[in-house]
Amino acid sequence: MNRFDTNTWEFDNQGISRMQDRIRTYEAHSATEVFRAFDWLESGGSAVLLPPVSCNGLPRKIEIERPNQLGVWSSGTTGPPKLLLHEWDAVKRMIVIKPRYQGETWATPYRSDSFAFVHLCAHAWANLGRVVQLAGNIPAAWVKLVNGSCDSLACTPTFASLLLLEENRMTSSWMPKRITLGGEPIRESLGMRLASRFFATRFTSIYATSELGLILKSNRMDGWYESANLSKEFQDWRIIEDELQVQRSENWIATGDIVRSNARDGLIRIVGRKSSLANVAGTKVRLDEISDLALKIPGIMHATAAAEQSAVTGEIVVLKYSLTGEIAGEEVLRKLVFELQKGLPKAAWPRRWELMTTGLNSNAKAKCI
Amino acid sequence: MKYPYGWSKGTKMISDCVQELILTIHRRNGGNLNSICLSSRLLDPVIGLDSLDLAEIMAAIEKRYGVSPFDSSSAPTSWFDVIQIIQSNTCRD
Repeated sequence: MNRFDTNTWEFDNQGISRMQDRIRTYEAHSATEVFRAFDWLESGGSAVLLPPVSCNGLPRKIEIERPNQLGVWSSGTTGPPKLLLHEWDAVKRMIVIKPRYQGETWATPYRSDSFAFVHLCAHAWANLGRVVQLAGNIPAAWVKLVNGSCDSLACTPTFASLLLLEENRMTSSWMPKRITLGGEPIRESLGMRLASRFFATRFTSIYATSELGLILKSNRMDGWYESANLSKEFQDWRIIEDELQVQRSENWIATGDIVRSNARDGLIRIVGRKSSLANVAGTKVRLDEISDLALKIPGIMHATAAAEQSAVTGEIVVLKYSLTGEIAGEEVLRKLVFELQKGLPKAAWPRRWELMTTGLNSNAKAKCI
Repeated sequence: MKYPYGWSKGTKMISDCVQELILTIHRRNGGNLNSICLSSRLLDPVIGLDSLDLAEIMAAIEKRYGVSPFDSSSAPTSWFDVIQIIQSNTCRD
């Protein structure tokens, strides 16, 4: 295998040009395309998965300095999309190959350009299985699950919860071999309901990020993970100011996730994102963006968006605001709701609005109370 | 508005409140219903809610009644179930 000093390519006006023989790009609109990328990676090349929508917003020049890399784009919700490179060998280490997994059909609603989808495809590819994509429409998803002979399901806890809500006589016979949950923490009450409905199913709960790949996995359904599993993926780990940090290649990396640790039982649970982000039904939402937009509304003095626990979507956004008093409160709220719903994606809409009274703290500085 | 036989005044008030919450979001989504059939499933296409809308309604219910229907041992599948859960938890208090 050759070692590349620098590998670059540029996007031309018509599409993507392949400048190096050993780097190929694939449009990640289906599992079939992703499987082709894996075949190429297995031959020693590098592969970059492109989002299935237009390439607008992606950087025009990318460099890959090491060989045999898999490139997946981040979602772009926390900044401009960036290309995240994973060693193909590291991706393969995440895969478990077993005779009982051979030939399974997995169903998933994950977006085809997401790391979660890529991870699932890697598992199916290695085990000679296939992946069926589900739409967000729950009744249509049920039809595919039942009629498509789907053996297993990979989805967020929110999606699984919605499946339970839309159960009917036709769906009640479906009992998958496996359900893998990821993208957001699982709530214990939901875990119990899923375990009860799918009593013969083997569950796996996964905590992974686009940047770090697989961090933790467990068969528990109560939202806790065995912390010993962290040591399998990383040199070391620690919790600093409630945030999980992991060590890889001598570097400490902050995950951005707030965790709770049960040292006595060797367990760890993900509580939520650090203050700047919320995780709403698996979608990362920037809270500072919401606060900034709210502050532009006439009549608003202070505005802070925060994440709040939700039994339906994991988290929702709450906006706490205070008024200048120059404009009637009802009018300000009406304008605030309208502008935020107009200017933000639906997952980022505040679902609760809390009017705060501005007072003074002990240092005579303004505070919301 | 017709209520199931035997409902107390308190339960009727809970029902009215839940209906109002649903209809507010239903109309925000472009719907034009004036009332909701309580036996409807939570995500009935006629009502036109998605999971985010549902989370908003549940947050409002939790703030008003201190009850999180989705955290109960048996999650609701219809709006009737939601009202029953609220009613049984508020009476207990």
